[in-house]
Amino acid sequence: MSSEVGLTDDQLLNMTRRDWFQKVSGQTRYVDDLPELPGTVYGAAVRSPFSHARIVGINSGRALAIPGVLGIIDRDHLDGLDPIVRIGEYAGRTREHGASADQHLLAIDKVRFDGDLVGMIVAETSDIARRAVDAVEVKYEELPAVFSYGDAVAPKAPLVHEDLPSNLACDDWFEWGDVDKGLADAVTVVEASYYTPNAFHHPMEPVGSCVADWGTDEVVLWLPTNKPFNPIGQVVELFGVDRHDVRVRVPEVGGAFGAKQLTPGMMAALALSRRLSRPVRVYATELESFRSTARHACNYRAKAGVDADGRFVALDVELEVDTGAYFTGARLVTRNICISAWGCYRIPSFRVRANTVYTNKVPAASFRATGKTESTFAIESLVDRVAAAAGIDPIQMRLRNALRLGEAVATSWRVRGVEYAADVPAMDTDYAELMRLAMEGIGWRDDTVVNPMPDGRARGRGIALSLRHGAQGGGRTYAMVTLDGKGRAHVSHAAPDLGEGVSNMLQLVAARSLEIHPDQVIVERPETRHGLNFEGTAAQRTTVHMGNAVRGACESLKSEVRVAAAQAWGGKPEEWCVEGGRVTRADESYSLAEVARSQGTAPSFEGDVELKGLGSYSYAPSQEKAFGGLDHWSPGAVAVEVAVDRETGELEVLKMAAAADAGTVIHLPSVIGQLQGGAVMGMGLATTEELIYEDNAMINGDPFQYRLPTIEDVPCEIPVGLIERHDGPGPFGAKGIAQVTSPCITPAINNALLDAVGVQLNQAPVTAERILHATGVLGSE
Amino acid sequence: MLGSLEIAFPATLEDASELAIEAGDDASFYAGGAELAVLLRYGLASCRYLIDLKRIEGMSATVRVRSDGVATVGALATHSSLASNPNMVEKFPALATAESRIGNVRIRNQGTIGGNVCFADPSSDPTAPLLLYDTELQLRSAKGARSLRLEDFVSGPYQTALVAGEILTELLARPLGPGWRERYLRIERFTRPTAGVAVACRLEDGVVADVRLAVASATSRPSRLRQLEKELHGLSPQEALTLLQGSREVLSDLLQPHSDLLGTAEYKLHLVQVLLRRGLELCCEGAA
Repeated sequence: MSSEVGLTDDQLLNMTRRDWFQKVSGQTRYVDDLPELPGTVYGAAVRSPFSHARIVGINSGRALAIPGVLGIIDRDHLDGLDPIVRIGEYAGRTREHGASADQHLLAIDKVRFDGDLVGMIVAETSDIARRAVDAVEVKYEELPAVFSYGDAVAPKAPLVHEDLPSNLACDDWFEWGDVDKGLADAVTVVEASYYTPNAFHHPMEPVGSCVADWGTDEVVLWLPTNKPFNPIGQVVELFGVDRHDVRVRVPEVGGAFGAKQLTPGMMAALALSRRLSRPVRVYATELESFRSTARHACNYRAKAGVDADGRFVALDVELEVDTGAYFTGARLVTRNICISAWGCYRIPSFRVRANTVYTNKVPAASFRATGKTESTFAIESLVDRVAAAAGIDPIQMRLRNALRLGEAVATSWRVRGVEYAADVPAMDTDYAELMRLAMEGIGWRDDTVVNPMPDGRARGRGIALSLRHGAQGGGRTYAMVTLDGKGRAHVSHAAPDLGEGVSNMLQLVAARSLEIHPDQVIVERPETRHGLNFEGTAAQRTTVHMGNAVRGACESLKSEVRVAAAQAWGGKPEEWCVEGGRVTRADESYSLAEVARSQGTAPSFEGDVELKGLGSYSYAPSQEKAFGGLDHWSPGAVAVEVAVDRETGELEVLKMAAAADAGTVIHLPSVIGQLQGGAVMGMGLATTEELIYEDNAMINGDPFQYRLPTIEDVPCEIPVGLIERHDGPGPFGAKGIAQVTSPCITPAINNALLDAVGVQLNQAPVTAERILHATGVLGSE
Repeated sequence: MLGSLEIAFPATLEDASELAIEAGDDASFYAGGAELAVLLRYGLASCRYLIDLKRIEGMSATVRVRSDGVATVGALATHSSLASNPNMVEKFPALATAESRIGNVRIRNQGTIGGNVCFADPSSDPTAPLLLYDTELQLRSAKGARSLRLEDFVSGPYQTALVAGEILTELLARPLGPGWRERYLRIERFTRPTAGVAVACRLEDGVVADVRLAVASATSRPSRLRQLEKELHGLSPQEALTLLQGSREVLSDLLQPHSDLLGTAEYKLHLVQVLLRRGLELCCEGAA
């Protein structure tokens, strides 16, 4: 490594992140911490307390009479806006249904979920706004609520959207081979079903806070979002402004996991800002956060057939998906569950059919590893069930059936009945190695393990693999790198840092590409004004897509530097060499700063001169778009060891380890953090997290009743194993690893339960009471 | 998010009491705020005024064991201070165990025993062991003072015998004394107890001479199982355990557990039965 970098490869790999100290010392400024804009007023939402009700009338007279209250937006005060405009992460892609099926600005005739936006009060202070919300009298006529797939498809089920013939939102199907023949030929056929409930992402920062400023020359939204460009089209559609006048700025984001999207409340705030010509600020509450978005509920019913050696011959899957009150993520999530329903296995004949319905629940959309939490729980639990039925060790079962390095998933497939070549990458990892790493992490091969344990509890171990699709979709990504007169590189981009270290990753990519010290790299705040497109920090794409764009921008900057050097000191650009952070020709050598300053007419003003490079990246979408542009697989493995008290059903996770194929690790602590963080999130989803609806409402939608694991609940150590073969499509051979562990924990625990007490559950989360029912200690449910 | 609240800092107990009477439902006493802040924050409770009890003369956080062995516990004593007090660990081990397991370290450092008892959250750890010690509560208000047994104090979920303006100042716990063994056992779901059971037993000549059983969390109010205690008298440990093993119906009648997010009544009943048996087993261990 050159002297200009000043750090060894190892130091770069383990560098202390800039945001760490700021975060643990409370200095980081999230959206709620941003300073007040002059003239700021405050919005507070009026939300439905019912999951399903007709709005008979809204009387806001008493609220509007409160001193300090400036107005309301509701169905009676719309400023001429179309309330049925599509809002949300997938708005603009989903209009295939009745006008009411997409999530819209405000509830008009009825509310369709507990938390549906009925209006927004705007007032001089946040306190006044909240008090006024309590004074808005909304008269509801309660309607019977639909809370499950079964409710939704029952004869004479209440309709969530009366302009549609049924509660069916969409369907999907996907297959290859001949499943019926495969099942008929199978030696062992296992039937099973696995239900994944609705869950909430639960970022530490609530969902819904924003600052909306309808200025005279630009419309600015300060949003904690992972997709800065996503809201622009919706603002254009609702307000009819030019897209170049809309600007989204992203402060630090306190966690997202898919939840930090544009909400109807944010659009209502913008509408109020337009009306009053004052900035409108909304402080979201935790209760609203729970009522903004969710993970889909899904029942996976399968028939799996294996031959005498325990090799899969066929897998037939039916999915019953529940998308909640509006279309939102219905199409994408249904597809994602379908295309991951076979896990990571070699299955000659596969078929999946899905039906997705509306219910009166919080509309579901993206959720870390979107769709794969549902499918991975099912297929990985199923593999252990099949192994047990075929009399094979679950590890052997996986070694025998998992796709091998270089192996193709299938040669062709039929997507919704149309045949396509299966043009996805061949398997790019070695599952045997991933399994070995995860198993070693919990000491699986330790022969001294006693079962039952000395305290009488049953001990069990389980493993689960993921076929997380790396860097899915995303269109074209741009980044710009600017070299200033001090030799510093400024990275302009639109990739929000959600806490996982995007900013740090980009800093390291730029430092390594330009061979300069990371302190010389300044990663700017993500925003949209510069027009550098990015689909968003999601789908595990950021390291690959934005990392490549920044690397490309650095290369383009180097070309500019060579041109500038040639202009300043003679010769042709190609005679100049940019290496080790210096610009050289024969025995001439200049710093990058000197090259930048050579362009200025007044060299004393260092900041006046700049050189820029633009970089981009995209991956060609696959032919049938089943995978929407998949450039690598990015798999992972998880192993757990649990202790089960047969009498009380209590399950303790004693050990948990994760492994992933990172291609090339760019920043080791961030990679470990992602894998461990995913494991801890997965542990919550596996053991307690479930949104519960009863009596026309969500009944546990607050952090007090919806329990998450804390530091006291998780194993002290979560070992992480990594494969690095430098074969990823990202910068320096990197792959995405953000979402590989969270979906694996539930099935790994379920399989460990099977190992410990001989039964597994057919639904998540794996609770003590359910274990007691499954083992027969308590009567059947 | 927590809306704005006014906090009053009365200097005397009488002032505090009168303030509370005046404000009615709009006001709430607070000491640690560990329970109240959570509910206010998530909109599960509401009030506009808080009356701080920490600066009032006569309110204390002192934990003392008197010469007659009775522990006098100031209502402001934090859970951590009780969990780590050597006298409590020695003379009131079941309570010390329960206190050491409440919530998380922040709640234990912030929350008070008085707040926990007065809040009457059905998921309470300390009330079960406190019932073993026939705990008596000292209540004071502008109108006077009275004492009430803990057993008669909690009347239901979040409901107590406190009248307007009344403040819990001190708890008196009677130690079980020589020959007794006691245990607190609980089943939790991420720090919140689903069932908590306190068991104390004294064996004499190989039989149960005295036994106390108390249950909290699984039921709407903490309670002693006196009927079951009577049935255990004079039994050998083995006979007593067998009796508990078959006590499901008796327990069901006595406890009437409620179904909630932590589990169904059937499950909680099962847990109580298992914990009672395990508690007694541990108390009798090595003694038989």
